[in-house]
Amino acid sequence: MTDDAHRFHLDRHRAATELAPEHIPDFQRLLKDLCYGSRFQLLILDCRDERLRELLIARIDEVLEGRRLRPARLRLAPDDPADVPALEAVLATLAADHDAIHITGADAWLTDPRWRALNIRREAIAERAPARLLLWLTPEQVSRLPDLAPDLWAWRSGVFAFEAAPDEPRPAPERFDAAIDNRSLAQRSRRIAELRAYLAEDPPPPDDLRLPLLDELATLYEDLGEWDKALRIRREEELPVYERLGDVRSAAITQGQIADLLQARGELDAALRIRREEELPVYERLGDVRAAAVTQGKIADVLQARGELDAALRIRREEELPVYERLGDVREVAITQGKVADVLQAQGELDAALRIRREEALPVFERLGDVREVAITQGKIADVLQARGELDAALRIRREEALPVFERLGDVHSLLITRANIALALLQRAADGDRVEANTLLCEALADARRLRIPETETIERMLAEQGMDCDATAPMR
Amino acid sequence: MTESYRPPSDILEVLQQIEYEEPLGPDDPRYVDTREARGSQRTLDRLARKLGLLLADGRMYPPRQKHVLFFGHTGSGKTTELLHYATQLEGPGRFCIVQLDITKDLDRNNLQYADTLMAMARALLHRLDVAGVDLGTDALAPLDAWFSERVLTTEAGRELRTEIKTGAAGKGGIPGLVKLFASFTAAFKANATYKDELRRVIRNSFGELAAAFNTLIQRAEDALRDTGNGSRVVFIIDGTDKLRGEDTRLFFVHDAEQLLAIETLVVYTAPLSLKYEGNLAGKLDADLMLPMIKLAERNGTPCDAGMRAVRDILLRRADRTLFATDDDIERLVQACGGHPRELLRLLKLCCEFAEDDCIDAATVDAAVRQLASEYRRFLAPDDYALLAGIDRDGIHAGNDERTRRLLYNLALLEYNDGTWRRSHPVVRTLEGYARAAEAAAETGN
Repeated sequence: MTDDAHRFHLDRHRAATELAPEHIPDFQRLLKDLCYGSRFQLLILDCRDERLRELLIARIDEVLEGRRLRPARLRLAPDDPADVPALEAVLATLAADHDAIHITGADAWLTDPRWRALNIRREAIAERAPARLLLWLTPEQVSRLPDLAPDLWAWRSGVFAFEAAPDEPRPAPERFDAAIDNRSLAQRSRRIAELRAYLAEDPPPPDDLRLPLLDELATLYEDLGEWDKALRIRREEELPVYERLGDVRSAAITQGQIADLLQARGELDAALRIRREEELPVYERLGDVRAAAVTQGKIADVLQARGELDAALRIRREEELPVYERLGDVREVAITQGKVADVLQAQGELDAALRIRREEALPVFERLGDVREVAITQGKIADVLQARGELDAALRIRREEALPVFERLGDVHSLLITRANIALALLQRAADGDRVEANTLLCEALADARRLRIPETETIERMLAEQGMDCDATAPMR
Repeated sequence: MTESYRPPSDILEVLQQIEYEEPLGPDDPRYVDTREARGSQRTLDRLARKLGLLLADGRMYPPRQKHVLFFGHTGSGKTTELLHYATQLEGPGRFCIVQLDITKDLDRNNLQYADTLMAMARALLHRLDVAGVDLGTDALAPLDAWFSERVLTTEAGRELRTEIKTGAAGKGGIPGLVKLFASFTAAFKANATYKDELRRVIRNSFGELAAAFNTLIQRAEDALRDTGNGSRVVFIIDGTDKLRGEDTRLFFVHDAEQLLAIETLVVYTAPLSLKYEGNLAGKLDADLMLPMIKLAERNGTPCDAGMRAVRDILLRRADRTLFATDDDIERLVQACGGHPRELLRLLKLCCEFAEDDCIDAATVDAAVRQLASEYRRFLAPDDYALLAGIDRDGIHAGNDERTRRLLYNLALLEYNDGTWRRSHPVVRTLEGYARAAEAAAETGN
């Protein structure tokens, strides 16, 4: 190995020390291309996490500068440059005195028509901007690149994936919690106090650290039913920061969370307006077909809640399903099929709903090994059977297919709902011993509901009262 | 191989020299004769015959006009092969080859026949100028008259004329016209206002332009014959395979009659997808294709010539000493499916992954995995099912949009002039494909 090559290997290993192990191979490959590959290269970088991207750019630039290669940065804003010829001109200017150009902000800038325009300017770009072009994209954009710009794709010098570790905070934080949060009220209260103390520090934490804390706090308030507090944080603290940063995607996500809260409070019109006017157009402009489909799904949820079942059904079938099918996302397809079945069930088409659950949804979740979704779907199959009066079959499914899974998963919320449903079936069947067992189950469900402080508490209390039952003798409160 | 040529023996040097977009000229030591390997011994022969030349004995029976489309996969070597074909077709008693690359000469965004005609005229005049062939002013008169009467009277024409220092077109003979056409070609490429106005002029007076251009071509052929520079002109227009979507249809379908009005011999590169859209004008000759290099015959028997050729291509890019074993070379050869650019891509990945100056089994594994993962990004479950079905029973599988898309993005490769197809070997390593193949085997589809 030559001295130069030896030095290069040392430099790139040193530059990689801060990186997570899974990012090192692609990082090192990229550096080799940048330092030894040809002058013009189109390098596709798949990185959703902006903090990780910034770290990588800093490390890359250190190595380039150490080898006297001059890096530059082109930050694209939604309308700057105005179009592809303008982009070409900017790149040409930068390439005149730089060897490598990082292009960021492409997610919002690269609309479908711009991708297509860029595709046919491939040769011109190579000629006018003979530099290493590092195009930073999200995974979704990379997946669509071969179809939207096949010639650019054919000329790619490499694709490098930098997937964020799941526990890393992101500038566009997703809900920090998993679907199930079984922390006790005391635990949640302690965490709220902790978060409020962090946020009250002087000077306050920088935006990239503060935003995930705010998100977690808002989510905690939301889970505890303190929707006003959650709404205030989302509207007054999170949203303005994203807007100030020009982070349109995160702003849209936050708008979506505001809509979730309004929806939970029953303000359906307001929620619907936000989804249609603030959220959906952003995802469509960004070309994020998945997020757009998810939002369409939430619009359908609202319509469904307002009883506009036909409209909801149309969205599920025409706006949501085709997207997930095109993306090859079998899980989302199955979940959406389940929602189609919900509508059909509400319209009284029990057979059609049952067929979808048994033939379209259940086999997919079973194949994916998603035991939770299997149990939920089984529960809904039991709902149909119960509605048709097939009580024994419904009871069997709830006891043998659903209950054990939720117990194993520690999903207290689903568990208490399943217990209440079993109790209902038992009361309906009214065989010997059913009433006692139903009383026990309802009391167990009530204890958990009270512990979680969820709205179902009142429903279960009402059921007990209607049946003239109490929990003193049968199942002591835990 | 040229005796003095030594392929690079340093991994970083190999990496440095890989350029996907670089066609290999006739004297490039990295060029490998792939005719036997592609099963395309007859491709040049067939092209020559379409143009009226019997290569075996040099007899010429050129038709008055022929517009041939030359199909092939992206990156399969069409440009490189055409450069080599040109050397065989050119010469006294044969053809005078006039080459144009529209990707360099024109803006292939929204390319129209008008732009192409201007570029063809410029290229022909330039070729005559370089060959020192003088046509005399009467040969240039019709074209000159068309310019003066139709173009230079427009606003765009007047403005352009002031930019052309040599004055009126005819004044400087061929060099003057070359300059004039060069200005117009540049205007087509860069100036949207001029482009629209000039296109309108050409459309409104196309009959006159076609006649003037045809006169020029005839007189040029007379002069070329007299000076021993070939008896007919053949335009080779490269880059038209890179037109996309609506532009492809406009150029080859909607405006085909305008192209065909030019009475000459033309070869256009064309995208494979166009071949299967089934709406090409009958007069365009659309059955010539550059086949892929075959690594196996349709029945699975290994194709030694193909293996040898791909191995040769590889070893002219990277010295044999860089590979740990012959097995590693063999695996790279197999993994590219006979597609030259895919071979280079795999070689580049090996250079990126190699820790030392050695490409070993682990490096080849990593390269194949990486390339496969790039395919996984855009393949949908139905794509796998289609690919597995084609591989299973070797059916042609039709030419619907999905199939055309897979052919275009190389997940599906076509061999022997398109008579049979196979999935890309790296795609076959993906789990999605394995599942689809298993399902196809179970259902017998």
